[in-house]
Amino acid sequence: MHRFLGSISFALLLLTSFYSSSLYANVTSVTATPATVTVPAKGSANVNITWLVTRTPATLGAVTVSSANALLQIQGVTVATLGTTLSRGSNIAVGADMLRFTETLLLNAALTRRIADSPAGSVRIIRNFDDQQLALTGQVRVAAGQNNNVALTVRRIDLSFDSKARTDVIHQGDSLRAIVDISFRSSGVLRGEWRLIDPSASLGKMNGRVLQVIQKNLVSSGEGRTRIISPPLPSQQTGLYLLAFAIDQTEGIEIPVLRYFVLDKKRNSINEMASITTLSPTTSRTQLSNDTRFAWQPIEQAHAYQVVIFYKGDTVPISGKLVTGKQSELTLADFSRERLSPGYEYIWRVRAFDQQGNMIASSAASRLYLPE
Amino acid sequence: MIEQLIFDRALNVTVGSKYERIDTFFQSLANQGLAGDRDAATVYSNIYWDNLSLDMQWSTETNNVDDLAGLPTDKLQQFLWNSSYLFTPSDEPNHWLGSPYLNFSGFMSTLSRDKSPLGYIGSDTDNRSRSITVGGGSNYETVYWTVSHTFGHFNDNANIVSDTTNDLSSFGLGWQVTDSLLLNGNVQYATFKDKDIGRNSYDTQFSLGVISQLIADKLNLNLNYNLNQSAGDNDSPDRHIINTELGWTLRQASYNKPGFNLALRGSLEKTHGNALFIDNQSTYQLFAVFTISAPFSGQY
Repeated sequence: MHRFLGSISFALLLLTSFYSSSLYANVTSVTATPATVTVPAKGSANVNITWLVTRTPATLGAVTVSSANALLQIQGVTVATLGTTLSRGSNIAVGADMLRFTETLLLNAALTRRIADSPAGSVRIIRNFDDQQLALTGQVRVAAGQNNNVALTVRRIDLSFDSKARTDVIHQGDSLRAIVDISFRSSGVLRGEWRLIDPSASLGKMNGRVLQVIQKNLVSSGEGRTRIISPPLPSQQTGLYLLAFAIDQTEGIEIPVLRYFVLDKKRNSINEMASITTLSPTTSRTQLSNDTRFAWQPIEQAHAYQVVIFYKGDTVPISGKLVTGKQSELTLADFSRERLSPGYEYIWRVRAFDQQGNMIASSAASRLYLPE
Repeated sequence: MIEQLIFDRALNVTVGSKYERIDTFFQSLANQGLAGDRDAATVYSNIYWDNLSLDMQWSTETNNVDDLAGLPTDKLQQFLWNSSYLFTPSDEPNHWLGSPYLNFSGFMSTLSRDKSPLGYIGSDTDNRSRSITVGGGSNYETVYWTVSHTFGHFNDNANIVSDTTNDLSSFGLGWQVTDSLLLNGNVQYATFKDKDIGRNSYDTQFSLGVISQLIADKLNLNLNYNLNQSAGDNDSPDRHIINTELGWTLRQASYNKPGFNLALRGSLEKTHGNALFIDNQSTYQLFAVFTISAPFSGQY
């Protein structure tokens, strides 16, 4: 009989204890989304986490579910306290209550570096949620590497012509291309546009016309670089062109602008000019004297001829003589010869000018010297 | 550098290499956009043989230069080339071919996981990118044309980012109608397809230019029209741009005398479409410009 009563007492005790634990063991699970996050080794990182706290079954009355801070743990040791207090009231009439807490945690550069230098799989962020009756902990595992949830960010745009210059002067019809080197972080689709402002609009504040739209998938294991070459740049119109590579994904960076000036092709360079045939002196290296005669074959439309003398390798004339287009020979005056120094070697040419003063022809360069 | 005659044609070959190692946490104030954490080797060559030119570059690079315990090491390998061949001007009976040329260029890259730390829980890296451009054209006495097409593919075998394709076709034409009238036009059509989520976008460019001397050496007219149309899932506003300039040469510049020009310049930019941030917007500008040009020569 005693044994029977003892069994009933034990069963009641168990029942009472089961009932009381059902009454107060409210927080039954804490899960985090995402379960795993990846942070870069370099620089700070924001980690977005949603904690889902489930309470069931109902308790009597309203309670507050809260968590003081998140903790960053490496190999089970807390190395940093993150975030702020999360708190929310819960009052379950029937069934279960699911509380959702969303937060963004900042991992500074020192922490991300420490995470990268810790053994793989040993880093986690935990939070302890307490409803004043029972506390449970949820966790997010942290890995170092490329965070694929972070959008592509362009960090720098280097724009130059293929000659590496940032400004250029070309002639009408010349070919020219630009190159953009893009430094970026993370991965994603780059959407950019080569934009050009024509000379007729380069004074104002226009956005420019689109030369080409670029869409390209960029991938990096952290930080990456890519190079994009422009289509051939227009050069039919004379004047100043402005060129930019505009993109969406900038982090407050400056979009550089290239400038190139197109000159009229009608202005002949010396290589494209008609040539003048010299008749005297005939030697390839002439000794200059008082009666050295410079003579050449006349050309059409020449309004004036000029003999010019340079130091060898220099481009600035140091002496010479200008005569009318009716003449086809000359000798240097004394004061012209006196500008030359004995013992030096010089270069001379004869050039022809039209009525407007444009140089229209030139002879090949020949050598002369003044004896010591 | 090698210079040699091959089949009576001059061969010029330049080969070079570059090695670059930037520590994981290196920062430069002088170059704040410098991509750090790279251990890269590059080999390049430039080959010119008669009318053929070929530039090639191959590079391989890895990250995790500081050998951090929790960071995986990825390897990026890239190969790019650019070649062109210029045919000699055609004589009769193939005169209609003009002076043709061909271009062939491309880019291939693979990014893969080289080393993963034991117990690594982050994602894998395994993707391939390739882009090939074929093109050509020809120049005639008064006409030129050019055409090109680019095929681009990106495949991510780790399924972290979407697989994409992008194609670009372009055609350009120029015609010197008379000594005082030059017309040029260009059409481009680009597609970008996200194969994983089925998003497609299309861009069409159209441009037309007119350069005319209405009165020789006195009155010039330049006119450019450009249309940029976007469509598909990544729609952006259509843009029309018109630039024009009417220039009056008061005095032609010469080597000894400055030139004076008066010009009236006008521009119109008009956007319309269903974009979020720009909707049916027009911008106008008008300038009267007086320029003095004073050319000089430093040649001998």
